[in-house]
Amino acid sequence: MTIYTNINNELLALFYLGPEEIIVDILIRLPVPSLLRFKCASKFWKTLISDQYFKAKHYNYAKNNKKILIARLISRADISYYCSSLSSSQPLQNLCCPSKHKPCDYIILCCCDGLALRWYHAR
Amino acid sequence: MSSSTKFLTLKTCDDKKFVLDEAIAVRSQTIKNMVEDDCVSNVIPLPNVDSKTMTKVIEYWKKHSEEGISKDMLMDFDKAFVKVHHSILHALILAANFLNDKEMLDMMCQEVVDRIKGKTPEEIRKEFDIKNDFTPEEEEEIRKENAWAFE
Repeated sequence: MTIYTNINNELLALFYLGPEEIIVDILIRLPVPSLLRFKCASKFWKTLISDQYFKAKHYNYAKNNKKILIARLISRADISYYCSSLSSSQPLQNLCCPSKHKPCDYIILCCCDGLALRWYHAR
Repeated sequence: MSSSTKFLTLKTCDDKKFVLDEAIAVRSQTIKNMVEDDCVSNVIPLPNVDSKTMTKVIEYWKKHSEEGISKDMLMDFDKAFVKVHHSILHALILAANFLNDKEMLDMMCQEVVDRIKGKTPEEIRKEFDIKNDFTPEEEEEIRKENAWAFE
């Protein structure tokens, strides 16, 4: 917890916001790729995002806001993956493949805690 | 069925007064606690909220308290409601936090998230006036470690 007391003033200037809980409240909603990118913004952001307490909060938020993974078979060689929160107010989110491979080159082996293990099988 | 409507007077930090139906005002957990604890005399001071922000908050509360309003109509209202300048959005977040209206706070935080989630580190720095204190080598190292997030 102490980390937030030290950096609160800087964050305040960043977000023009007050209480530290709000800033954490906002950041815990960000998807992981955004957070990883924002680690590059400054040393302070890197420290904040890498902090164990923050990671735990981010994880718990995601856990309480369940999303489902949807695989849409377009053709034998083309699959799209989507993420849905099951709420009509949130649009379907298209999931990109974090590599140059196509989604159809993967088989999902298992899912746990919001992580999916995919196996790449070259054709 | 008739019931007597009770009104509360709220006073913002710039000394403006708002008279509001108690049933609507208790959307704020902060005000609700004050009413339940019988701490309300004449005027409820809101030292952290200005009148411009409070006008928006009340607009939101009234809309969300309307009888017979459909979910779709509320969704359209919410969508339009959050389309405001950064400074107003931030003032509303602070107000929702002080007034302890979780529903409104959630909606506002989500809007900030939607505005920043697609941004690059450069854009985030510009947006929040952050000084890049990494050496080029250090920054390159972090980018390498998280390369997939930049694709």
